[in-house]
Amino acid sequence: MIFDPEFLLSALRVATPLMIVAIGVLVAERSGVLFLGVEGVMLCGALFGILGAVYSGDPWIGVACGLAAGVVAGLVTAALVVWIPTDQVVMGLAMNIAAIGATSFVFRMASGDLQQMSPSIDWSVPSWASDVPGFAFLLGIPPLAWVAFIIYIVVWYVLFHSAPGLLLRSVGQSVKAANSAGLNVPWVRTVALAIAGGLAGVGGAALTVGWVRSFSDDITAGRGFIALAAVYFGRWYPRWTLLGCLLFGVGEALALRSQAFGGNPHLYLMIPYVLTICVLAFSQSGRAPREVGKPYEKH
Amino acid sequence: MKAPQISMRLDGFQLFSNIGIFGVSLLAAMLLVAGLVELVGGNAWAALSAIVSGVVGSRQAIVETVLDATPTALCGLAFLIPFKAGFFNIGAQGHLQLGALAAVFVTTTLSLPAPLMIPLALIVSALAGVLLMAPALLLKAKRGANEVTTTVMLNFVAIEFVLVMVTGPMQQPDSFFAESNLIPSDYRLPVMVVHVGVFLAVAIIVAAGWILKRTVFGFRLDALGGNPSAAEALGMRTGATLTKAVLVAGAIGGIAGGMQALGVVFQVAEHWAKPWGFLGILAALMGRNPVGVIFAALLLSGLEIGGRNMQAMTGMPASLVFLLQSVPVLLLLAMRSTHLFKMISFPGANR
Repeated sequence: MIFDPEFLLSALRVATPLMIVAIGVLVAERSGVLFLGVEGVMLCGALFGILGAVYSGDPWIGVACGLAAGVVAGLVTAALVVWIPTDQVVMGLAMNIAAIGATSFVFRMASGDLQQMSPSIDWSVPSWASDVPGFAFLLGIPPLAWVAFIIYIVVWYVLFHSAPGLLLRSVGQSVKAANSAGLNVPWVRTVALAIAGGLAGVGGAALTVGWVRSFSDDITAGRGFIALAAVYFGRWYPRWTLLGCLLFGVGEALALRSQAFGGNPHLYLMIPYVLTICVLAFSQSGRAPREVGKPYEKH
Repeated sequence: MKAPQISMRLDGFQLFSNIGIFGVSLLAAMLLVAGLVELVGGNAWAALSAIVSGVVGSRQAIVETVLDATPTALCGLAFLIPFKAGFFNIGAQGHLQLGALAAVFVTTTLSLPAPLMIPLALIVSALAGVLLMAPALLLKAKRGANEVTTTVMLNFVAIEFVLVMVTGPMQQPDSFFAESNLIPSDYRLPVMVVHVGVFLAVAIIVAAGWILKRTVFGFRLDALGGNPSAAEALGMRTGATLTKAVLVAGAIGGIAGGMQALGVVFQVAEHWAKPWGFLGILAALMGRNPVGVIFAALLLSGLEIGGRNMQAMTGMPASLVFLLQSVPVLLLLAMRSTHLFKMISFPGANR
């Protein structure tokens, strides 16, 4: 039953926002920033994605609005935790609470038009194609899942096979060494946070525009933290992070269908977290970027 | 991860400038909210005064504020104690959930005389908090895993576990909803204006304040948070100190949940808990010492209670209160970290 294509598609649909956000978190963590505010940034992307999609009538413009909102939120994060700098953990938590308030307020004030569903982003399956099983499955994959895979390939290539990626990772590994090599640490982190914020924003838009097609208060409900967990599950490597997201997607898809499968839905939701903790317990910690969470202080 | 300095020895000038920074941040947040209200065509003055009158306007509102501030303040303490030693405990929300579940489990399955049962339930809820904290501590000590992420994940484990229990083995028979049995009325905390747990919480917090400020243990925590390698070099058993601080924090979080179950909600259910654990972190950062945490928690809870009144009176969404709760903390931290304010607020105490 788990290999039922319908089930796989629903797991993929759940995992898509997580994958995009998690890759963003990965970029931030690799540059040495603990991006705990990701939940709030994702929420901003979710709201502005819906705003853009409903007012323009084009879901892709909504995704672009989510991207823009995310980049702005990422830059605000950078201003607070890189340039001042304040503590990354508490700032992230405070920003999450602020984001719940701000998005809920904006939504209430604009909600007259937002009661309607946003236009669908999915490809419609032509009738002749639905007879061909493989083709119907391919067309059933949410468009943003393809976007997520493209983002994954680009980020993987840039981070691990290009000079800018090496610089970014070196900043996350040792600020002192990066400084001695003449790197401008705050700027590298600012760029990383802009990318991470942008991806978190797109991920938020993928949740609302690409899946739920509407907004409600605190709609992300901890998904930003799940993305963070997926990065830790993946030991800061893109492919394992993606696998972690799929695992959380399968868990949530199982929970959604627990009536058919049997078992307690909340157990399915709990298991991926337990697995992540087990991964942390049974793997070496040396893989973590060393500077994560430490505020940058120029000496 | 290095804990930002928390000065426990506030002389007059520092106290004055700290209150000053705090006042400025709160004022700025209020101006922001007032601006937003005006922007959408509301009456800012009416909205803000509705918040204030919603808190101090009636006896009932004051009682509600105190009841709501109690778990927030305890969770704030659960953040503050390990924070002084450089350990970020984000897990209070989970400890609170599991503590409440444990208290409900004990009181709905065992039968004992009430004077024995209530302390037992509180102890069990403290143990539940410790139990949930242990993996984070172990992973930090043995694997170097960042405690922020492990405690965040353990929160989700606890929340889902509570839901598993209230939709499964502990679900109220015949109930359509995800809720546990009610705690029998004999086993609920006695009420003297507010339930006695509130007084116990104040006692715990004041005692913690004294321990942190006046005892060797408090000094060790400061040393550990300030410079772990120096503390170790001076012969301190840093591991033992950290373990104590972290496990005590888990116990306090668990007790916060146990009290909430025994004194206010009498059951656990889906969505029974407000984000007390996270507000507690804000309270700890605003208050900076255990007694300060009490006042910060009262402020945060007052804003929440007042926010509901604002929504009822003026139609402005209560979610604006989230901004009033978080923006002062954002500004406070930013100002404390900015070099200029550092010089003003900690003359000589700076690195």
